[in-house]
Amino acid sequence: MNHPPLNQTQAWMKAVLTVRGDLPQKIHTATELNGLQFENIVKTSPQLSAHRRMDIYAAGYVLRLVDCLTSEYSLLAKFMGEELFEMFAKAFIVSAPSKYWSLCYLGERFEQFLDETKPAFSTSNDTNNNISAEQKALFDLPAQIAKYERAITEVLLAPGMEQMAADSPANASYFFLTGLPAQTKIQTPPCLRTLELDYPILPLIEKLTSEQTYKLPAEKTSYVAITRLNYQLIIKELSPWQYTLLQSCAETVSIEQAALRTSNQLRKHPQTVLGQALNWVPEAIEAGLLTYSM
Amino acid sequence: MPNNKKDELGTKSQPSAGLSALPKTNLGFGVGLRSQHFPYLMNNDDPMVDWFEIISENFIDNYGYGRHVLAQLRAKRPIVMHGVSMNIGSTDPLNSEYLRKLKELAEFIKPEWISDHLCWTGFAGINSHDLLPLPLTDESLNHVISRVNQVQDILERPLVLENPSTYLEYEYSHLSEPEFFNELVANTQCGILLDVNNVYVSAFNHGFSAEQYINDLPHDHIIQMHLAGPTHCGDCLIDTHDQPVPSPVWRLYQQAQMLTQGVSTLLEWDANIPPYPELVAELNKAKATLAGNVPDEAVVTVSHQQTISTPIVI
Repeated sequence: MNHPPLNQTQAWMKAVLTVRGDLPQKIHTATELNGLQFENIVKTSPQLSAHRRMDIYAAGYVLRLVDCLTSEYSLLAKFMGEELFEMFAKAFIVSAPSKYWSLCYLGERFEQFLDETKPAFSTSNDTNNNISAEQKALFDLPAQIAKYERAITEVLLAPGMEQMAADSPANASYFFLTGLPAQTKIQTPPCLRTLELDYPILPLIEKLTSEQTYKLPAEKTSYVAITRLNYQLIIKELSPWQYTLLQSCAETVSIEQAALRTSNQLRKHPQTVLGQALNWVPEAIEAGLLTYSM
Repeated sequence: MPNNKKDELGTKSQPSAGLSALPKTNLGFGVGLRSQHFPYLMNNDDPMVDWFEIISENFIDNYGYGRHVLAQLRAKRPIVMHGVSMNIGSTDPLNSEYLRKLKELAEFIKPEWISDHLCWTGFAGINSHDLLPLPLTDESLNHVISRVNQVQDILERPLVLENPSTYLEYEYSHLSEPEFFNELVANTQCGILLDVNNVYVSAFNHGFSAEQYINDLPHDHIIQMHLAGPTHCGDCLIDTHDQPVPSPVWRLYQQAQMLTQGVSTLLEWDANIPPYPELVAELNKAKATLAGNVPDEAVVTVSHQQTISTPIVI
């Protein structure tokens, strides 16, 4: 029997699902790309036309992935409003079709997409654009919230410290009293994410979570750490030196080395940073921001 | 040892001689494990079901609370791994990373068996995250036979494939789905996960007899059944997994259980998920059905046409 090969059929249907437009436009584009004629591919019946049959798949493809993004970016959806969020989610799905078998990675580039699609003037220093700080925040904040929510997803799924009995954060309480030697080895856990943000968004996140009215934050660099302890999320605002110190602990280093790297990067006096680090590291260990070994 | 009987295209038309036998244990009555029920299951010792089925992809690359819950439940009940991303019917190469991670998860869970769907989910590296129908042709059949044999060699166990619910058929399909399954199992020794709701949905949408479909399957290869509730959208049935199981599906289940002489039963519920005790109450209707008391439940009808088939389970 003469029929198109399987790979041509699949190329055609993949095109219908993923290209832009309404169903007739999608079918037209797929046919132009692939040469197959719709009426020669999909069976029709009096009960259910071939177009309706194809539309169940084409519409379902987008709706299913929008649902998935809404689930991952629920606070962003609240901030933007359902309709606007859905518009961006659909545009993202069409612009960047999923290339990975796991849905965990579907939203990985959503923050970047939101950042790239905001109006150019919102990132411009050109004051002639005459947009208010509040207007600029409205354009900037979706990508900031997306960055935060993506980090939450990653923290919830990453290997955590729940099985690290020997270095359990509870054991660090002792060091609040005794202090830690500067040679103590420290490292950030795999479930830690540190964020450098253009806005201090934590108060906004809190209001969105509890569905209260909020005030837009003013633009100002802020640092946030998100981690997991006993399967619970821990979210901490960081000072710049704390953020830099955590960045320097991706591999095992001594507190002394981490403090030195931090002081070099921030051009601060090494002894000052070491003193701050020795004071703060026990608290950071207890909060699940660091693991340690003697 | 893998069977090296490959034709000139590098395909694999026969199962390996060392392939283990299809598991035939009837696990009893189980439910799909969903995160909405984690609190109940972690706070109550008795899970009230015989076994659980997980969506494999929800636990691969997941080292958080979900995996912790799974480890606890594994100590109490058998687990079956059910996947949605094997892409067995695609002409893309098999995804070795996916299969490696699937096998790693299986080593952690030690499932009773691993299943996926007779479908394709992606092409040219793009994933639709949907279960797309295959043209039922000799080419597709030979392609799937070869891929199932390769996957079985990698996983070192028989694969179990589910009949999907479908909304379209191809003009050039010339095999029925039961004919396709008969040839597939004869050439791979794989198992069948019979979703009686999917049979009901596809039969309605394409106008074939659901009873005849079930009669025509190779019953000795069916090792599990799925139950779920569809939605009637006026012109078609959609496999929404968000409703009670309707009477026609219970009757198909009764028929299939009789023909297979009893296999493991699993209730799926993926949207508008009820509290756990209600889910178990729905599952227990399967026992009543097997005792001859088919529940009186109509198919839920909606007027809108934006219903999503097989919702994503996270």
